[in-house]
Amino acid sequence: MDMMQSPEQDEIERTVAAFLTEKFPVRGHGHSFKRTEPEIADELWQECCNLGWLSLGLSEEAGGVGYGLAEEAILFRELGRGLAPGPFLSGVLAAHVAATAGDHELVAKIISGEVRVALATPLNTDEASASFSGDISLVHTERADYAVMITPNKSAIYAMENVAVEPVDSVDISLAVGRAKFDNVHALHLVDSGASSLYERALILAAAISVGMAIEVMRISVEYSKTREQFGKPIGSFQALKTYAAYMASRCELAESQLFFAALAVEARFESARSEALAARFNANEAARINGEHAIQIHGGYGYTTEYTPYRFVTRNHVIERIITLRSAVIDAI
Amino acid sequence: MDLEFTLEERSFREQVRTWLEENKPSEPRPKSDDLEQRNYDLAWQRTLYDNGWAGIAWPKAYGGRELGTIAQLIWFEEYAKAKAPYLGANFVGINHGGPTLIARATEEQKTFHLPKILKGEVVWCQGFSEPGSGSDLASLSTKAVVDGDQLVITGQKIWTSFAHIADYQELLVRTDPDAPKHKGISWVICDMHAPGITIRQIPTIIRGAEFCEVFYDEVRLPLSSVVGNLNDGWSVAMSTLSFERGTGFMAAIIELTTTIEELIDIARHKKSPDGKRTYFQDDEYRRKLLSLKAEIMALRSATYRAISRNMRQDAPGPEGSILKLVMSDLNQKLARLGVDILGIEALAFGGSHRDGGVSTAAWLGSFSGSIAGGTSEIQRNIVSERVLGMPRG
Ligand SMILES: Cc1cc2nc3c(=O)[nH]c(=O)nc-3n(C[C@H](O)[C@H](O)[C@H](O)COP(=O)(O)OP(=O)(O)OC[C@H]3O[C@@H](n4cnc5c(N)ncnc54)[C@H](O)[C@@H]3O)c2cc1C
Repeated sequence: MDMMQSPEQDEIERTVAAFLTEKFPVRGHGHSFKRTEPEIADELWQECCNLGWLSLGLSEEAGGVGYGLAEEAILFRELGRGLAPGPFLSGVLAAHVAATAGDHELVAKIISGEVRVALATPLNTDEASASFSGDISLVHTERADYAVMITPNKSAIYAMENVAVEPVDSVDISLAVGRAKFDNVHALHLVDSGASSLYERALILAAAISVGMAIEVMRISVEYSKTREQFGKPIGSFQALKTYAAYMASRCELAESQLFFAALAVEARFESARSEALAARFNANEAARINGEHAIQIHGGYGYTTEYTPYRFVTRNHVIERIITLRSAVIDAI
Repeated sequence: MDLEFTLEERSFREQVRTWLEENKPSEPRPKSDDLEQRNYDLAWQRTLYDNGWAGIAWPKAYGGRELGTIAQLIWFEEYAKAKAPYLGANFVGINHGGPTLIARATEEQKTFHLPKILKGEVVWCQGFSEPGSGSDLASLSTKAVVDGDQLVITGQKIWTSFAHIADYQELLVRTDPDAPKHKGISWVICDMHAPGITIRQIPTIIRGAEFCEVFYDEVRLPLSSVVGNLNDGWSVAMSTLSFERGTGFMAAIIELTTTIEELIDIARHKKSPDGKRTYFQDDEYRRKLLSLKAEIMALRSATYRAISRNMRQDAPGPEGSILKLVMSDLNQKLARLGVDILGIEALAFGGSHRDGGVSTAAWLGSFSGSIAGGTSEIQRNIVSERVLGMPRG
C-alpha cells in the first residue's frame, strides 16, 4: 500500500500546474458579467490536446498514453486548481466511451482536438439510452460536435448536429452552459457503464476537479490571512480564521485521500469500487463548497467583489456540483 | 408579557395591509445600479411619505408618524408579506442615518435633513470602512483638518454602497491624529456633491456595482456638519451601528419568514433528483426545511423580544449583534438550500437578491450578510465580550 504520489506522478502534476499557471492564470472578471470570449481559445485547446491531456488514461492500444485513473485524477485535480475552462472532462469521458465501443476513429478525433464534446446531464436522472428523450443540461456547449452522457448503468455519445441548444446565463460566466430538449436523439454509441467503470471514472474525475478547487481556494485564503492586517496583526492570527483554515485543511486531506483511494479501488476492481467513487465525489463536493464559502468570508468585503478570486471557486463549484449526478442521488447510492 | 396586539394596532395592521395591496408598485425595481434605481427608490419613498407611511417611528416634528416600534414592526411584517420593493438606496437614510440624527444631531441638523430623507428627496450612504480599516474600524485614517469654520477632508473610503447616486454620507474622519484611536474620530454629514470627491464603482459577485470607492481630495465641509462633538464620533458611530445591526435588520428577518414558506412551496411541487417524489416527500429535504423553519420562527420571536427590550431603553444594545449573527447564518442556510432545491435550474443566474425569494442571486447575495455591517466573527466577539463579559482576546 502506498497512497503517496510517485516521482513520475509528481512530474505530471508539475508539468500540468506550470502550464496552467502560465496559460490560464486565475483572475477575477471585474465588471464583465457576461462572457465575451470563447470558453477556451482554439490554439490553447489544441496545445492541451497536443500535450496528450485527453488521452492520458487511455490504453496504448486505444491510442492513449497508457496511464491509469490515478494519473488522470492528478491531471483533473490540477485543472480544478487552475479553474481551467474547456471541455476536458467531457472529452476524456467521451474518449473512454468511444474506446469501450471500439470506435478508434472517433477516439483519435476526440483526443487530437479535431472534434469537441459537451457534457450532458439529464435533468430527471434518466439513464442514457439508445434513443433519448428528455431535458438535458449541457456544459461546454461551445463548438460541441457531440455530447457525452454518463449515467449509473449506461453511457452514451450523442451527435449534436440536430440538437437546438438554448444558452444559459451561467452563474460561472467562464463556462458555456446550455439546456436542450432531446427528442428521440439516437446514440452514436451506447455502452454499459460497468464494463469499463465509466460511471466511476466520471465521479472520480469530477471529484478530482473539486479537490483541486478546495486546495487552491484554501491556499489563497491562507496567503491572504497572512498579509491582511487588522487590529495591528495579520488576520490569520485570529482563532476564528484559524478554525476555518484548519477545517479547510481537514476537508482537503480527507477528500484528496478518498479521491486516490477510490481511483485505486476502481483500477483494482474492488467490489466496493462504486461506493468508493461516490464517497470521493461526496467528500470532494463538500470540501470545494465549504472551503469556497469560507474563502469569501476570510476575504471580507474583497471576497464579495469580482476583482478578487474567491467567488470564481464558488461559482465554478456551483456548476461542478450540478454535473453527472446531483448530491442527493450520490448520497443515496453510497 | 403578552402577544396581544391592541385594537389600535390591529386596525393599523389592517390599514397597512389594504394600502400596500392597493398601492405597491406594479413595476419591479430596476436591476441596473444607476439613476434608474435612484429614481425608483426615491419615488416610492415619496409615495410612502405622501400617504403617511414614512417614518412610522420617527418624531412628528420631522415628518414622522411617531407611532412607536410596534407599529414599525407591524409595518415590516405587512411589507414583507406584500412583497413590496426593497428599500434600496433609501436603506442608509431610513435605517441608520436618520435614526442616528434623531438620537445625536442638533435641532438645526434634524430639521434640515430628516424631512428630506422621509420625503424621498435625498439618498444617503455610509462612509465608514476604508481599505485598511474594515473590522478594525477605529483605525480609520481619512483625515479632517479644521480650517476656520470648515473641515478639510483628505483620504479614502471603500465599500460605500450607493455612493455613486448619493447626496449625503455618514462619514467618519480622524480629526485628532494624536489622541488614542477611539478618541480622535468625528462623525460628519458629508455633501457628496462637494468638489474634491471622486467615486469608482466596484463590481460585486451579484453582478452589481452599487459598491464604491470614494476618494476625498481636500473636500471642504462646514464645521457645522459634525454630528455630536468634534472627536466624539466613535460614540455616534456606535449608535449608527446599533441601529444598523438592530432595527435595520428587522425587515430582513421578517422577510425570512416569507421566503422559507416560498421555498417549502417550491419543494412541495418540484420533483427531487430521483424523479420519484417531490423534494418535500424526501425525508432529508423535508426535515431540513422544517427545522430551518423552526429556527426562523425562533428568530422572529427573538426579534419581538428585542423590540420589547428596546422599548425600555433609548437605543438598541449589543444584543442586536445576536440577531444579526443568527439572521445572516439562517439567510445563508436558506439561500443555499434554495439553490440546492432549484437543482440544475440554479445554473442560470437569475432573480434579484434584494427582492427576497429563492434565486441564485439571493444565494450569492447571502454571502454579504456575514460581512456587511461588521463581520460575523466580529459579532461573535461582541456577543462574547460585551454581552457575556468574557475576557478580550
Ligand atoms: C454588501 C456589503 C455592503 C457594505 N456596505 C458598506 C457601506 O455602505 N459603508 C461602509 O462603510 N462599509 C460597508 N461595507 C463594508 C463592511 O462593513 C466591511 O467589509 C466589514 O466591516 C469587514 O471589513 P473588511 O472587508 O475590511 O474585512 P477585514 O476586516 O479585513 O476582515 C477579513 C476577515 O478577518 C476577520 N477578522 C478581522 N478581525 C478579526 C478579529 N478581531 N477576530 C476574528 N476575525 C477577524 C473578519 O471577520 C473577516 O473574516 C459593506 C460590505 C459588504 C459586504
